[in-house]
Amino acid sequence: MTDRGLCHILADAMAALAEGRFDEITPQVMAEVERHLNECPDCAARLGTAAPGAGDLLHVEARAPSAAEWALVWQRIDGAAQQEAHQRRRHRLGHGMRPWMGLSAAAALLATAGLWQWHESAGRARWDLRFAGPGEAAIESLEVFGDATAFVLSAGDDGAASIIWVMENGET
Amino acid sequence: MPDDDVHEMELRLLQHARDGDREARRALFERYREVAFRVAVRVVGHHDDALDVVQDSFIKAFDALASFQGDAAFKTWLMRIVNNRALDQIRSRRVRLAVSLDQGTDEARPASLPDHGEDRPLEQMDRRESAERIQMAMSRLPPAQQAVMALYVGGELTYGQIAEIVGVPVGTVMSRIFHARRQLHEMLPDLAGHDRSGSES
Repeated sequence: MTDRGLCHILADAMAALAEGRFDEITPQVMAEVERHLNECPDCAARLGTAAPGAGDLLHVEARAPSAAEWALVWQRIDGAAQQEAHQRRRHRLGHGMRPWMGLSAAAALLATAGLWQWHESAGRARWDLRFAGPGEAAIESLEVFGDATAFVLSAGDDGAASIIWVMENGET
Repeated sequence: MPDDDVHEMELRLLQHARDGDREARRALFERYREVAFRVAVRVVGHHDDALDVVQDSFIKAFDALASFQGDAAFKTWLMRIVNNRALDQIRSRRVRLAVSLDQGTDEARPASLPDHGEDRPLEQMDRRESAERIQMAMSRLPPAQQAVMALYVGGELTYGQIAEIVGVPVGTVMSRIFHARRQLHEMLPDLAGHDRSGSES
């Protein structure tokens, strides 16, 4: 429970502390003030807004970084942010699709048994995969997202099965 | 500019930064890098280490911007990250020092030194020596006191903001400053004479 009497008794000490006059306080009074502030939200809130700053003892300034040093620090921060954004983009594109990538590899293997044939169909270019056996697979769409390329591979009669294949540009 | 306008401008910057706007992030970096450095260098003591702390802290802050609720000021939130990162830095340095003591280490090299190019050589030497002694004395304080003192001296923060950053009550912040100052005065009796009041109780 807050002892309101202490607010008045310790008022001078708290005023000194609010102004950074620590030298005027004894260890015993400091202990009393600390105890009181932990119990009295009003005094804690009042003192909490004070910003006296330190005395001269600690005001020998450290050497400030040069413009070149700041530029280098910023480059690294910005580089890390760009890398993070790139990872997130890859994650969005790739995560959850990874199981399909195994299937796409299988499709690629099947494709080696088939025949690539380029032709124009209904006025738009498309890659077709023709297999020795029944059925057909074709790349339905190809889209570039930043550093990644996404393929949609459809297979089966009337494109009954689709495989999404995401590949980072530069991957071999 | 009125405080409300500054606050509103910062909120806009934060919103843009959260959306990944590089210019907004750069503006936040330029606004708070100096204060972050002043706090970091008081804790870690070395110029280059303090720059590393600032760099890591901004990377972490920008990465976590989505989780920043705005219930604290951005500066307070950032200083908490700086403070924690700086304390991690000195903890890991103590481990490295313990490991490399037998191998002739330079870990105990002098702290970041002031470089007031316009001063005469003797004054410059005095400043360098004072800064080095103060930093050495700061590094001998218990980490909890050191962190609070770094924020008190370099952070331009209220007692309440320091309390929020460190996660202790305001009374504890003041008590730590009180005891840290007494220890610094004992370690640096000649420099203590230059303190504001100059009369230690």
